[in-house]
Amino acid sequence: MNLTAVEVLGIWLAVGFTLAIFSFLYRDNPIYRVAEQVYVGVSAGYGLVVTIFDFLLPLFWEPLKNAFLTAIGSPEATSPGSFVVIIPFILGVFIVLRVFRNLTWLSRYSYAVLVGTAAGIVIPQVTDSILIPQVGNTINPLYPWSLNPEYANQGTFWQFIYSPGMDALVTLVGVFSVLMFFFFSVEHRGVVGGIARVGVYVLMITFGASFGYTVMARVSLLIGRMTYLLNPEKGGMVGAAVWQKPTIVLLVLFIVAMILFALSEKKRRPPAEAPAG
Amino acid sequence: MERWEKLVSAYLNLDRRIIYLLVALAVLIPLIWPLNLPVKAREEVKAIFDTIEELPPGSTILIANDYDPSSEPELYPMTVALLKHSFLKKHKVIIITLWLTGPGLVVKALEQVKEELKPLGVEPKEGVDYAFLGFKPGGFAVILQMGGNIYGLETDYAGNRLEDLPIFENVRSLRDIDYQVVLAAGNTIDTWIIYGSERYSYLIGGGVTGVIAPNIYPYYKARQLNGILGGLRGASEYERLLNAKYQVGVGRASKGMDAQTMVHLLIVFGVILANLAFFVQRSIERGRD
Repeated sequence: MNLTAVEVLGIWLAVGFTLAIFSFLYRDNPIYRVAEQVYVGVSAGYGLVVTIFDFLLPLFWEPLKNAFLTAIGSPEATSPGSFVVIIPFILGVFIVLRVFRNLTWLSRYSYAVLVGTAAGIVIPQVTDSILIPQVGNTINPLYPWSLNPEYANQGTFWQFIYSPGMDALVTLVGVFSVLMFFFFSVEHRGVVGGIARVGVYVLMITFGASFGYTVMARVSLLIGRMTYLLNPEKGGMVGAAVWQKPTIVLLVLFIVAMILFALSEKKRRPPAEAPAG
Repeated sequence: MERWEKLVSAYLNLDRRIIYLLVALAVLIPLIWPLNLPVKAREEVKAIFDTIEELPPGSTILIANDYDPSSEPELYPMTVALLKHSFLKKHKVIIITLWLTGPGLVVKALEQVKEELKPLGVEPKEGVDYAFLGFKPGGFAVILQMGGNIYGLETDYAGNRLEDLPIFENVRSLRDIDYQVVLAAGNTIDTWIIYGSERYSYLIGGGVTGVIAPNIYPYYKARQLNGILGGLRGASEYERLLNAKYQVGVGRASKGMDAQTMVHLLIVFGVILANLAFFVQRSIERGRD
């Protein structure tokens, strides 16, 4: 596989920064801190560049420029453009002016427009698209209780377990008991206490499922980086030249650096005082 | 008894770095020597696969690639598998991202898919078979714009005007979309459902990271999503369904599933051992009292 010098450099940097971040698992160290700060800086820089070229220029500057060119009758106009973009631009500038204490009040107009517009769009749409369908799906009939035909080949028991009625029953018990747990106008004793306790178990099962998925997600990220380290570019690790094996080279270098760092830290540390007496 | 006490105490006070090392080994070993453990496709994954499979050739599929490199291991294999499947079925694909750092991953996925499909004689053309709209800022405002008039987005990632691209000849709004899959690492999946599929009445499926997968199951139960690809496992299941049908090989999600299983086993084993150690230590302390 033929790679350009820039691509090779990119691979070495990617491997190096991955190993640098992983080095924190052993202990905090200067290599990790450099990688962390470079990451934050590059992310912010990338975000700024994309914002300028994908946001400000095409959505503000181009329409404004074209509107001006059209107004003066210039043939250079590529579209009719629009002067309306000045309004959101000014509202945006008002928000930035918050940095000056005596001009902070201007941002209130921007926020008023933002909140008012968002509320006007969001409230009816969310009610229509989420609230009503989700409430509707929670309220399902328990009767008549039919078996699930999709599980016919797995026996009556599984047809019963996966039946719509069982689904509705579990939903009913879960929703009612959790709501009861968060209903504080009645003391959680007796029957109410029992139902609230069931609600706690339902919540625990929910959190457990979420946690399980989160563990899977985090392990997936580790697998992603490990896969990259094992094979930073196609065919890189097996039978390749040294410059194509950044993982091995950099890992060795990092281990040496960590040992040197530990030794220098040991030297800098003041000697322990002799025990009294 | 003293030996037991020492052993239990050593386990309960295990240096966290040893655990990191064990996890690293549990990931590395299956990646180097794959176990090829079976992964069965679930109903919610099959639903997305079947929808793309059953749509007539030439249907328009919208893929929202709303994630950044930090979610790449889970969601990128989904992008690749969905693109491959859509191109193999001769569907038209429109890709968009509402995430600032998303475009690079789409470009990479398109290049990879085109390269892998070339030997099979499938060569999708930009502007005709697919279009990448790039990053469009504005969240729900972008979706509402697409619902009203897709040309309002003006240009694709390469700067071509949308009305000049053949793929948009019959696609003027979200109502003309036959199916959408949202690949999301955040709450844009809710946004697409609320302002997209529910408002403009079209079919939608979701591929998400493991962290948010449990949160979107209520949409699936309420049939507001017709299928779900949840995390690395969902991606792996889709890759396997695709490979079973078209023999295109499995991607890196499937290769990572052995490691995933090994780490899960390690965690479960560690939790059981820690609990056992805890009870043993407690019984020793009680016996001493």
